[in-house]
Amino acid sequence: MPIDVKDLHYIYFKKTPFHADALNGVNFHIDNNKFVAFIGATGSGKSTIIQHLNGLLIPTSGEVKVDDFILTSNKRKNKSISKLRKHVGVVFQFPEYQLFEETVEDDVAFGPKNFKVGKEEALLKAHQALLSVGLDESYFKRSPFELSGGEKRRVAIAGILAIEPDILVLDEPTAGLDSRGCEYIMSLLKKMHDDNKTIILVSHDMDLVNKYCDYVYVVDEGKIVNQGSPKDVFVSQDLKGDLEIPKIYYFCRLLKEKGIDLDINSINNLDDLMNQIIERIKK
Amino acid sequence: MNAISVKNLTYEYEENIKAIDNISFDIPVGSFVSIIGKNGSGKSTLAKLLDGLLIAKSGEIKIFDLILNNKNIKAIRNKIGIVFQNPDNQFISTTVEDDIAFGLENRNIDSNKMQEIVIDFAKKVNMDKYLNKEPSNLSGGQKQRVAIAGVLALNCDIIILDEATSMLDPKGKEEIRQLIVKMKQENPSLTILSITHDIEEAYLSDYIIILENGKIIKQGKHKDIFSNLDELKKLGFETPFFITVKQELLKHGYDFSDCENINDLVEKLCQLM
Ligand SMILES: Nc1ncnc2c1ncn2[C@@H]1O[C@H](COP(=O)(O)OP(=O)(O)OP(=O)(O)O)[C@@H](O)[C@H]1O
Ligand SMILES: Nc1ncnc2c1ncn2[C@@H]1O[C@H](COP(=O)(O)OP(=O)(O)OP(=O)(O)O)[C@@H](O)[C@H]1O
Ligand SMILES: [Mg+2]
Ligand SMILES: [Mg+2]
Repeated sequence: MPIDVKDLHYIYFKKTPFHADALNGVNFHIDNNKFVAFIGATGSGKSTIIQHLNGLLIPTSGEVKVDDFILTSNKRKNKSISKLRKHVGVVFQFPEYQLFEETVEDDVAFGPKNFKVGKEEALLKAHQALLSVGLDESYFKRSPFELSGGEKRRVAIAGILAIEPDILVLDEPTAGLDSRGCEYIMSLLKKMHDDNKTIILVSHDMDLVNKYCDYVYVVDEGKIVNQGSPKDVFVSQDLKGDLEIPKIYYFCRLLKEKGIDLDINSINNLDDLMNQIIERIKK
Repeated sequence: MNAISVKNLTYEYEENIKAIDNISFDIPVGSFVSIIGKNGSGKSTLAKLLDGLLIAKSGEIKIFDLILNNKNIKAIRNKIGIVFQNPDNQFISTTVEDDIAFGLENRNIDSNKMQEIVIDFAKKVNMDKYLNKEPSNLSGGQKQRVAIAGVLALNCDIIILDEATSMLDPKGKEEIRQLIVKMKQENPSLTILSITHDIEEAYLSDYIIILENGKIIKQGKHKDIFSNLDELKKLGFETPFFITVKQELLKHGYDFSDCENINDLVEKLCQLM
């Protein structure tokens, strides 16, 4: 399912004293089966962008197109939003607001049930999804509100996995997860990507973006100001130095400041970095 | 003197499920402590116990020379500022300005002075342009900045940060860290307890407590904790990046074990190249 966003503008509280321009003309196209990240500073507009992808926010102007679903400011055209949500699952930045049922399993089963899956099967899907995010049976009957921060995030993620959408959108999925949890969730997403799903992340973890994503959009003040493969983006940023970069490139930057210029273009991971350093020492 | 002294503390949300299980530790005044541990290990529960938001089933908490009990709870709360894991749980007022001011109002601060403090801290966290906005209508990272400002402004003796910068961009994280370092320079007796999943952050503290299943499975000075990296790894923690680089170099026969930080390492490395 390709995504097409054209000249998207979004204003919170339009025509009120609280008026806030959040998006000022955003354009992008995401093909089927991409693994994409939106990165950028606090308040740049990342969460606002992705909340448009399942119609949680409706454009103030411009257009969001997901496959055949079109969202515009013309409300009459937006009637298929609930269908759209079968195809696009979004995990919010604060998972709390996504949890509402009395038990963890009911919470996760809510999505599939909502999309006309029978009760039994929905529960089965819920259990599978919960296990896959590292929550065992002892969590199934607990209240989602009485969990730790990281556990809540896992439940919220399980909630969209259970819907089996074609496009998974996750806002800071690893914030608050322990390091094994991060690896777990990321390899899960990678597996879904291998299964022909589209994965869209918002993340501040540049190492993770560098490792998993194949395309990156840099958002600044409600606009996309840079895009490309992680390396293209990080290496070009490296020269300017205003955006944070993965640790391997940061290390290159420190060396460069001391006059040691590595061939950054052929460095993709720690091993590449170490090999170049060792080679230089031996020379 | 200890800022925090905990003895045999136990807490159960539900009968017989111990979220905190008989833990003891002492934190000397002026320490910078990190609490690390897996999801659900009990970190946030511990933070809430220290602030008297949850009442322990058994054990004792002492803040400076005050034992946490009904009589002392108010005095203790005035000494501790806590930034919660979810900033929304912290917001009470309808504007950022009032929200930062809220805690100060409870501390009988002169209103002119108060205004000054609020603006000062809003500036320090880069949110002075948002004073009239409603906290719930901010981005995730902006919310965290406001929550932090509200607590730092109180000028408490003990600050507890529960993953307070988890949604900030790396630059923002560093800005907040610098802000706290500066506050500590101005007031060396400030005690900081930072709950975090970021090993790079934990690496910068001088004492580390590791929780698992409500128990302290290890605690010690920075040096003791980070001298046994294999053990840390086994416990499920990553290795700080510059140490990983040092380990890789050692594999090739280059020993940089005396380098204490990344800049030091880069410096020495450059001398070889
Ligand atoms: N509900 C809201 N009402 C009014 N303004 C909002 C609301 N949510 C966000 N904003 C504003 O819109 C802008 C973009 O916010 P957004 O949440 O998209 O940022 P973000 O890039 O996700 O940031 P972060 O990394 O901090 O989560 C910010 O200036 C923010 O203050
Ligand atoms: N309100 C509650 N009612 C019942 N159990 C709870 C409640 N809050 C937390 N728990 C449980 O207590 C244990 C400790 O939770 P706590 O929030 O202290 O963990 P944490 O170390 O802060 O984890 P995280 O890294 O995910 O934030 C967990 O098993 C959790 O499920
Ligand atoms: Mg956001
Ligand atoms: Mg917690």
